[in-house]
Amino acid sequence: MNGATYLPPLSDVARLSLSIGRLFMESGESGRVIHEEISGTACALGCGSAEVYCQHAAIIVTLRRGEEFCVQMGKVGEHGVNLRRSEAIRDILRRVASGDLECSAAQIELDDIPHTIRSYPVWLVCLCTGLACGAFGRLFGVDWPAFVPVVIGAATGQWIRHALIAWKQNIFITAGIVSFCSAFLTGLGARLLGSLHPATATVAAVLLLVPGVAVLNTQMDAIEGKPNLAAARGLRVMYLLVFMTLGLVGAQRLILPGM
Amino acid sequence: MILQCFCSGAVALAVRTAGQAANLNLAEASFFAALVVATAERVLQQFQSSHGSILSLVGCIPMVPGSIAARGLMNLYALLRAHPNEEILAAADGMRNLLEVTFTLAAIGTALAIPRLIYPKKTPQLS
Repeated sequence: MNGATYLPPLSDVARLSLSIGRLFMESGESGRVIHEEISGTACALGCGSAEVYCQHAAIIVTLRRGEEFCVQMGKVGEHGVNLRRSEAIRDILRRVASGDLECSAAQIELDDIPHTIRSYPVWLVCLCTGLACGAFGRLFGVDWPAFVPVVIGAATGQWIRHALIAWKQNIFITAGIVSFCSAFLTGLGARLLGSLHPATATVAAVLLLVPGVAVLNTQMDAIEGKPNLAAARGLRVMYLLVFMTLGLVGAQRLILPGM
Repeated sequence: MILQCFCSGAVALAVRTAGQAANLNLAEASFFAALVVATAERVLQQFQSSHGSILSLVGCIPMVPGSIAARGLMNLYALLRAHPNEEILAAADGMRNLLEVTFTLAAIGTALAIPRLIYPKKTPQLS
């Protein structure tokens, strides 16, 4: 599609822009990336200017083309991290920018992304999460007898988290439950196997809950001039850490005497 | 893609470890590690496909001090049931941990932002 021959209605471009922003936000991108990609796409679709205001739960887009303008707001769902989805969105936007894809066709492809982008198998995610936490445990100085309990505890916690998220449970409650279960299983296993560092092992087993991408996005948004979004992300990170710690402390007091 | 993410994380941790071995503290070492990864990503962006900006982010995730944050919060919880003579110790430990987390996160975030601000991605010209 060429902007000189056919220009899609501004309302369609605004709807496409909101879909881009929502999907990027739900995939774990920073506010700057969202702004850049929406501006680039709107420009490719013949808009003179595009202003984007990203909030944690909503996005507002204002598009202008000559005397015409359009303002639309859309909600954003649960924030997560999905690199595959981000890549698929960028691929679509690249084709829009190069003129290979029309606005309406891009909208259809974007709407299909949640259904077409496959996730890794749950067992693989659980296994890798467990191994990562076990490796972190070794870096913290946990002995080998506690390594297997950390892997099992973290993998089980990841499975519980996956199940609770699939049932659309509150993410903070989920974090508390996962933290408690992972730490409890790890502490129990470490004690049974005679580890000398059961307390450190329980800490390693709950590291799967640390929202790394959200923490870094908070920093990036704050530095790059989006304090509202950064504050909302930061508050959410803090609450996640509090619930994670609550679960960890509860499990430690139950399974490790003297803690 | 997985290989690139693996390399990004490995480089970041290697630089941080080298920095700590050179007597830098955690925040300073994390700053240089994040700066190296973010700069490399920006310099090499013309050779990447579409996933440029997220590689440095992925590489820095292992450096997020989650365990220190958890320990800081645990120390603050311990403050609630500490004996009077242990209160100052628990409070000091908790505050030290949380300050370390704050400075480290600020260092990583700043280092990630610097290359993007100095050498931004090419933006399309608005007509």
